[in-house]
Amino acid sequence: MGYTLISRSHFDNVATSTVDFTLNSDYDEILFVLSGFRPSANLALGFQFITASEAGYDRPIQSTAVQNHMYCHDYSHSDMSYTHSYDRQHTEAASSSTQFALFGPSVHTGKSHSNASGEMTLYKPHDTSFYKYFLTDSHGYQSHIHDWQQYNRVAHTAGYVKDTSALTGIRFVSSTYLGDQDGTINYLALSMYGLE
Amino acid sequence: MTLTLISTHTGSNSAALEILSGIDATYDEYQFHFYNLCPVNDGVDWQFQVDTGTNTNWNMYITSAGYNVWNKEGGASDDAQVVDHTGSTDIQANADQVYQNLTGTVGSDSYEALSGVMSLFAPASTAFLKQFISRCTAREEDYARDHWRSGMIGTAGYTVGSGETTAITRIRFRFESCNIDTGVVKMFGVK
Repeated sequence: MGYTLISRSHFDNVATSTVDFTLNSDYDEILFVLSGFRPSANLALGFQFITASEAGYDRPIQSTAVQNHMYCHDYSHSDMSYTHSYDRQHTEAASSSTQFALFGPSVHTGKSHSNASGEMTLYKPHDTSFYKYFLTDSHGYQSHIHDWQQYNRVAHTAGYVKDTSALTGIRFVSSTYLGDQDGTINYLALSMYGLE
Repeated sequence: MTLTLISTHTGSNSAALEILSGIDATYDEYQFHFYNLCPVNDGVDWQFQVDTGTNTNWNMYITSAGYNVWNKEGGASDDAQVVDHTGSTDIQANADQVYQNLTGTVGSDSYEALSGVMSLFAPASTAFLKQFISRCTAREEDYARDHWRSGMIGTAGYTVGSGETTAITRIRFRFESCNIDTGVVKMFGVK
């Protein structure tokens, strides 16, 4: 059995605050394929989880983040480094203050064709013994309004949801790179696949 | 891309998970998906070796490189580090016949484990060295970790072990120095 398409969210030019997917125990591995994300402002795609016993999307997430970037306007600079502002401390997602982990780099909307794409793998979200582990790979085009400041940016995050309860849902929002929900998602093409 | 589940291997206080059949010319790529693999002892590396079926000693020459990324709970430490043959105890010596680390240390607490995936390309080729890429995430001692490794099987450089192009038919996963408490490895064929 290969990947099974479970659900897909696709909209264009519709200001949307939250996009939710339901998680269940049918699959050991969930793959999210992001084939286009564009926010209302210079923001990133964030995600958070909910469990059956929680009222909100606010689970503690501990994650790492590394990025590569290159100036795509003149190819003059490139680098790969750990990006502290893109990782998450589990304490940031206390119940009273939702903090979203990042699917990928922020998209800057200086150009109409800028967007982000990538993949996220979530392992055994229904498990009740272990924390829930995930990996992301993504690419974003940070197009500043000035032509002399165009970024080609790649982000890789990894980590775990520090909760042994089964995850029952995931929410995607437009987020600051610090993890605060902001703005809206104006374009999204996001598919959720299950792998048995 | 279509994945076909070939076999499932469950660890339960197991010394290793050996996949001794199903790796052949049917698929150009084999993926090994790791689900919540937890060691019996704390702080050990998840590793693999392969063999050709004629050499059953699990000691193929492998040259690989990688890097590790970490972020400790509480914010005490976060960074990324290239993993080569010159570094700390977490670092895998390359170009040798030992098991290759796919992770740094993994914790053994009841909620700690590793998950991830390793791809092995064209194992049935008799013309080329065999290449692999891997990425795993894990927790150990309050650290979230992201481990990357890729390399080639059948060479140790220009001289020693160079040019071993015999088809690979078997793979063996283990923790470095203890049994596998729990966890699952699934092997998929990719077309």
